[in-house]
Amino acid sequence: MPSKSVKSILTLAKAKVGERLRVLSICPDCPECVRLRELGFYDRAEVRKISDGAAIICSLLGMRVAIGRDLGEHVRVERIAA
Amino acid sequence: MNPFLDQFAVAALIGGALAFFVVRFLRKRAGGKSCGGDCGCGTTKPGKPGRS
Amino acid sequence: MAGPAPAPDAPTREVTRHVAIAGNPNCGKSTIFNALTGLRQKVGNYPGVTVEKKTGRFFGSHGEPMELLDLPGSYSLQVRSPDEAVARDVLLGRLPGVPRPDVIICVVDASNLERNLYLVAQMLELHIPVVVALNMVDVAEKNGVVIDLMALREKLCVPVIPMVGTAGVGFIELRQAVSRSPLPAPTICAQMPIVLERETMALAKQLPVAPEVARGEALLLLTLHDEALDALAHHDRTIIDLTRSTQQRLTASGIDPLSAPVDARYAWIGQVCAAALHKGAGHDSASLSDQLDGWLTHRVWGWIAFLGIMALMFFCIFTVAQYPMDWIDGATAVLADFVKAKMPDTDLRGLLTDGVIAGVGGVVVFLPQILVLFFFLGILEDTGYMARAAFIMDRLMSKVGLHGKSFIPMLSSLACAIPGIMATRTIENRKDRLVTILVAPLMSCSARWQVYAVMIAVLLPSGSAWLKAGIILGMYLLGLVTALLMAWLFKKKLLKGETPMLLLEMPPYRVPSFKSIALRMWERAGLFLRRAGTVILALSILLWALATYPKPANADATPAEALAHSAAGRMGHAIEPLIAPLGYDWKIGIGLIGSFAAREVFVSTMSIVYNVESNDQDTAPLRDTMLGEKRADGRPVFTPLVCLGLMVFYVLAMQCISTVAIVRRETNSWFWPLFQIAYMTGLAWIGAFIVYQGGRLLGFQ
Repeated sequence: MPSKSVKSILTLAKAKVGERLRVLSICPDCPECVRLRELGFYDRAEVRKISDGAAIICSLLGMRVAIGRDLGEHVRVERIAA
Repeated sequence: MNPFLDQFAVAALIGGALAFFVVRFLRKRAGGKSCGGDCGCGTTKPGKPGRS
Repeated sequence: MAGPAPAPDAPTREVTRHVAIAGNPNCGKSTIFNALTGLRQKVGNYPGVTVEKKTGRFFGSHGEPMELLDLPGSYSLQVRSPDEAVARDVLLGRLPGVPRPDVIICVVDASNLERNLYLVAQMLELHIPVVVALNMVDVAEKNGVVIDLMALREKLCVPVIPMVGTAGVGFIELRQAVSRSPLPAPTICAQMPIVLERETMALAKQLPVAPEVARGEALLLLTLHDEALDALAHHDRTIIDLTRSTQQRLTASGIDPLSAPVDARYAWIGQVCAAALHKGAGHDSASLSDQLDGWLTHRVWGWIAFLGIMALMFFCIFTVAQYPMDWIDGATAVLADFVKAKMPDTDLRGLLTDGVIAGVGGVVVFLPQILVLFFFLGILEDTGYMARAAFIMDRLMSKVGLHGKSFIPMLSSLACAIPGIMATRTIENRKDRLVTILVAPLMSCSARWQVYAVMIAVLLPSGSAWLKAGIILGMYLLGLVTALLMAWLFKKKLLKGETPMLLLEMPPYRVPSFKSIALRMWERAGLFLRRAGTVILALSILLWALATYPKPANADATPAEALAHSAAGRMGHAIEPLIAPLGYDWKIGIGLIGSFAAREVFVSTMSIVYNVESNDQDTAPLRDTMLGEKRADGRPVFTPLVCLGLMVFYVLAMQCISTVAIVRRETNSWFWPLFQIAYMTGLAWIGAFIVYQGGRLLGFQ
């Protein structure tokens, strides 16, 4: 079923390369996620996905961060119109 | 060359080499140095604040 | 000049201030530290290069001496690695013997202001005067980032000094700011939610720490996880329970104690940036770094690029370094022949030519190759490629239960296991760190290089450079594969734990500073030569003595008989039964024993053994002597299988006292280094056995 919800909510791991995204929430529990938050993945932060493979590379706040796909599943994002 | 002098020089060199390791060992034990800088690893030594 | 001029390096003068320099990784902290203190240090590009505690003295604008402490790079005081814990503990005055700093110089990367301000926000909560060093303003400008300094100073309420650390800009102002007296304590900027603030203050009152750090400490406690709270060592049970109940109350009132402070700080950072930061157009467009990353971290192209870079590196080591190596080889032979011609045939002449010149010369000849290796590693570090290598390797590393970050220590171990093991301090999880320490020495370090180079010269006296590079690359790969397999085994059986999730900052690609790389190579050459002139020299003399004395009673004994009669010969014979299944004779046994302290001694031992044995007036290169070496039954000793087996043995064996010492220090136990020696020596024996016996079964020589 094609997802045609008004606000397309997805995880960072599932987003496409090159998309501009906005962080909606990060799971509050694991220590990695707290560090992600401290690195700038706070709620409503803007992220761009640069590369996707075994791991994801994102650009935010003018820097690049590599995140494992499993960790990428913990970050819920929405697309921003380019 | 005098054979005695020759033997003496050899003994002195071997003694010197032994002394080198003994002194090195004692200094390491006394100083508790980290990466002694002579491991050849290329890491720069940390600063020596307490050196007098 | 008024008054007595301060003597710039009078060590007796009291330190007036303790200054700590803190900041995110890759913000240019080390450059500023170096420029202020004049102490040379390694400036790398992967997260956490500053793993040692580094201090130095510098002078304020009026010549007052101050002590500068370089803290490990950290993203936050809510620590995740032993490295960051050091920074936090110093700033909270927890570290015994390290005074709590009077001033913090917080280095901030101007091109990445928002993220860097997070640490500043935490520093401001510590009640220590802060001076913000706004570094790399030139890069920021190039990226179209405009920073309103006045607005930034006003928002932060602390001195902000624009700087270009690499070009020496801003240091006078920085010294002035740090020397100012009195330095006002900063005001806390990030407003926490009211409930959180109230609970924090209540907890702070209960803490047995100085009142000025109590709030910061309480806030850090509240942001700790369950596991982290349990592992807490410097607070007693009541405080931990108190923290837990406070956390529960906060959660009940709808505030997540872990994320609320982070969000509050970023809210404040948002206000600061709205006032002081203006990004030019085009900032969001894909930069050159992004495009490069598209290729270099690609799942196919990335691997090809990685393997290509490695292959190129090893090929260059062979071709470029060959010329200077030939010169050194020639010079050593000329020197030995000169001494032989000038002196009568006595013990002293033997000691000088067969011991000193052969032993030291046999090691010094590898200097060019090692310098080329360090040149490449320096470039990989300085360009920022190291972090990409970690990224590419994460997939492989996670298969064995480790983090991609564990690959950085392993890559550093290509130079030497010691910096590699020290670099494991950036690994958050204790078990993962231990596993990385255990397998890092399996990566082929530069000392092994010398063994490989000699063995390959014997194996392929006239092979092509590509073939030689290929075999050496194979040895490196063998080390890597074994390291991965052992890591998997350790993670599975010995140090069980979940595979950590990858989280790694990728620094932007930078043009490497050839000056800094040349400086490092220069330092490296100095260290290498000093080692050759001291340890190797002394060892060579002793080894020569062992290979010469006691002399046989029969004065007409052949050199071979004399060697067999000597102490070294007897030791070699003693271990012969152990190494005979590997195809080694007792002379190689001498080399194995001699190199137990350090691998490269194998080469000098072999030089000494074969030179002592030969009676020639001319000094032949070690390679030719080894090629001509025959067993009692006339078969050559160094058959291809023996050469390959020896290389495999050295790939897998521990054979390094310095590494044992550093593992002892880093693990704070004798168990792990002894375990490491045992398992690696066992692996080495098995590996060499498989190569030799397996090869023979397959019909090879």
